[in-house]
Amino acid sequence: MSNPVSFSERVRDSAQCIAESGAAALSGLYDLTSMRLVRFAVTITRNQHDAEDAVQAALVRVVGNAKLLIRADSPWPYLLQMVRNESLVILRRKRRRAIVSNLTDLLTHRSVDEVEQEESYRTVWLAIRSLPVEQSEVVVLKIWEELTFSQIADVLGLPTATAASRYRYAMQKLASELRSQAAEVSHD
Amino acid sequence: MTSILNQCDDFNDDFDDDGLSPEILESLEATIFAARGYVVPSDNLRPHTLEAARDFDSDRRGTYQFARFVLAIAVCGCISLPVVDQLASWREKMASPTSLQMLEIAQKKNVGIDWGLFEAFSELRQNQALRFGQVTAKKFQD
Repeated sequence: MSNPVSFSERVRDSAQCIAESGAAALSGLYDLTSMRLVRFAVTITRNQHDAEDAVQAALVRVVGNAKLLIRADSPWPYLLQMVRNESLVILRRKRRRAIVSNLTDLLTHRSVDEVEQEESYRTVWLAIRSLPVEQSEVVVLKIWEELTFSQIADVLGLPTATAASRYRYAMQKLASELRSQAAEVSHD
Repeated sequence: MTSILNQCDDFNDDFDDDGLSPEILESLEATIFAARGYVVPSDNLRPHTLEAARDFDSDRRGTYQFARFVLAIAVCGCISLPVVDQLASWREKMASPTSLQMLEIAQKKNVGIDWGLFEAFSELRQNQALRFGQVTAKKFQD
């Protein structure tokens, strides 16, 4: 697992390059963060296309004012917050927040040695998508982005205790969801 | 999927209203963590993003240059207007007498037009000297 602090510093370094060289240096930040930003945005927008629009808008905004990231105490959570804000703007514009029961809108990847794991990954993603956005984004930030509850609270604009309780409820639902899906598979 | 099935069997025993046991929670977190790379950005997101950023940067630079140009014009205007006013006031003081003025002086002093010209210039220089304060009227008369 990567250290969130060092990752934040890498984000800050990339932002510094953008501040010095302009848009030409955005590729560094894109390569560093795009995958993580897209999977976070997907949990909010429930749609890959919208998620990518949100990520693109946030990164262009960084080019507009890279000092925001450089001066942030924690650049990585700050960038996640920017992507979340852009995702919410897109959601408001499109008024689409339906729960999706499949992964057909998502672009998935599997390496040859992970073929056996694919079904497991699909199950996990489906279970996460079955959660309310308020809970799924906490799960993503906690497990995939390895943020503390305090950092999650900052990103989401919540009290720390609320973030922790949402995580607890989400994990209970995920356990239940995975259990029911596993039961379906065993019956089949 | 087998691992999930096994874990889910455990969930039946360990899942209750109070939450999940630490072992199950840890196992569940590990299962979720492993799936983090399953969804990836599309191939065209990178070029689209970089192109959008370049366009934004270019537009912003154009706007900055235009703003700088407008600011420079405004500053030049603010500086030059008082200077132009000042120069206009000096122009009246520095202007040579017109032919009509020379003729009027010649008629007033009852001399020919040639002497009128001389008198007009003498009067002009005297007035200029008085205005500039370089030479007193008395000294000039002497």
